[in-house]
Amino acid sequence: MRLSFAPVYARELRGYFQNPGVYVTLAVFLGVSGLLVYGTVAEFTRFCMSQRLRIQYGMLSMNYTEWVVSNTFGLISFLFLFVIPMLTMRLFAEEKKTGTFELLATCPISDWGLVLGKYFAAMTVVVVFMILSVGFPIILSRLGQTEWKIVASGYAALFMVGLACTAFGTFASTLTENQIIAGVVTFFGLLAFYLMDIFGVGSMNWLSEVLNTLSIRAHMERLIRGRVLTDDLVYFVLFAVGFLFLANYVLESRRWRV
Amino acid sequence: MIKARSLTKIYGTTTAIAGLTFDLEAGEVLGFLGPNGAGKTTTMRILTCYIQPTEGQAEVAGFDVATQSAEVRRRIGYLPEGVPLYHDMTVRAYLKFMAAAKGYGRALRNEYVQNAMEQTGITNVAGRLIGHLSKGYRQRVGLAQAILGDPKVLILDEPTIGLDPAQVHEIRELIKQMAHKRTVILSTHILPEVSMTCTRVIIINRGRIVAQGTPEKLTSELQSEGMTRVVAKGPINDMRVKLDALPGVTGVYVKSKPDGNVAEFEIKSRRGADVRSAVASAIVGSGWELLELHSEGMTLEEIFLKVIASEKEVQEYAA
Repeated sequence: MRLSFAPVYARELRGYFQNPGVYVTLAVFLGVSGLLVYGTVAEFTRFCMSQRLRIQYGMLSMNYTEWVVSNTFGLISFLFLFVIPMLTMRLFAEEKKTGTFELLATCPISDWGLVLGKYFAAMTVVVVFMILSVGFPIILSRLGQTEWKIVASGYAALFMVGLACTAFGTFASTLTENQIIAGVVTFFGLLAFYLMDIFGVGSMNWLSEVLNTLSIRAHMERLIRGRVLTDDLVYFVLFAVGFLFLANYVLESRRWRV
Repeated sequence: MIKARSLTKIYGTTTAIAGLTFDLEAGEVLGFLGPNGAGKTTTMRILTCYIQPTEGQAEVAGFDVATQSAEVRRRIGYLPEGVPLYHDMTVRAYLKFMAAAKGYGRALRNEYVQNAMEQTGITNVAGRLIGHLSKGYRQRVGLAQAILGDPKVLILDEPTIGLDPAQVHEIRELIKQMAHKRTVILSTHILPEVSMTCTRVIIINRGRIVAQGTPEKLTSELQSEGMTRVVAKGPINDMRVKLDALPGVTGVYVKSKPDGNVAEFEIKSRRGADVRSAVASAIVGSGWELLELHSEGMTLEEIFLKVIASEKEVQEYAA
């Protein structure tokens, strides 16, 4: 069976850019990101003002990159939890509802071709969103001393979070023919994965260890602070590959499911 | 071209189809006839490799649908029920996409799309959004998609459902044209469609084949008795007695009110007995005038209802 995801990818991508919903999502994403950037800078300024004597006498040193730039990337990655369900919810749900899925699935393309075509299309849109947000680090670099290394690792973190979340959304979209359900499942599922480490606070050691390992935020936190660990990268890749396998499995299950 | 061997599909506790076995030669047009829920769509979905049978095998063009599905899919044009299309694409863009999805290279794509549009008569709407087209045109786009790249086998699920009579006629004509050099399976629950377009009929009910054959064969096999209509001029009572005495005749009824010496008879005969020539020579030989004579077969509609009704009786009896 041909893998060839190119036709599906091309159609899906064009569909995204013909869809007004995507532009609305983009506008809201950039607008809210702007507010978060403003808020972070304002908070940092207020704190520095209140502590100016201690800073002046060298009792406290404030790292602008760490406090503002890294946190901004952390907040934008949190926004992905809202943006990505919007992008992925219709991928399979809509085709299942209108019946076009049946036609697509009887073309000589494997189910993997369908999954990857749609996944890469959604991922491309995520990357476009990331590229369009490049104005924020540029503005931040004018306001204070910015380490570009950290900006780069911040974008790497966004990309990795995007990979994982988009795979999860693609999977959720295969489960139902209802886009809204797919979107809601994606949002709450991602929220749970994102904040997984919180559930572990104050519980037994091994449990909090496990929850920390599963948590998107725990892995992202290191990355946005410039600590690039293989473990964290492997986590995101495994997360994405795992949910893509599940998506493919759900699609294939139609053949034998009773 | 198509071989199905005891195809069975079970969904949980419901059996969608149970042991369907049939063969289809190249060039035949098979009509799948059955009430809603009889298992037509399930069978088609198995043949197009959308789902797998619980038991049994099927072959399309010599390839097994379960193990060689890529080869099968390459040779099939499929129009699922309800003509699913992307309403936000133009006709041409959609057909190009489908041609790409079917794996045709860039060089062939334009040619195939052009051919398919010409054959289905949609060249004039090539640039319009599918969502803005009438239902009849959408159906044509669906058919155009199915014939892209000239597949050997066409599988059409309820291709005329929901169209107005003029559109139904157009689509049937199209299907007839397409059937020239292809093997076609079409499902329907509308009977005239079958006698108009198909060379073979399979009637299925509750997942089982209850009758199959050419439309003519089905008519003659399932007919329990023959019926011949005669209009003749002569002494009515004498004629009636004479006709009643003919071998094979089981009853003679005067149908219309005799107008002077002219009467219309309904002659019932035993199954398989052709009494037409005996009737003609009896009337003419006695010096009466034969004005009209024709034998009436059962319509497919009657056969269909009869087959399904007798199924029901059997089942009720069994229960």
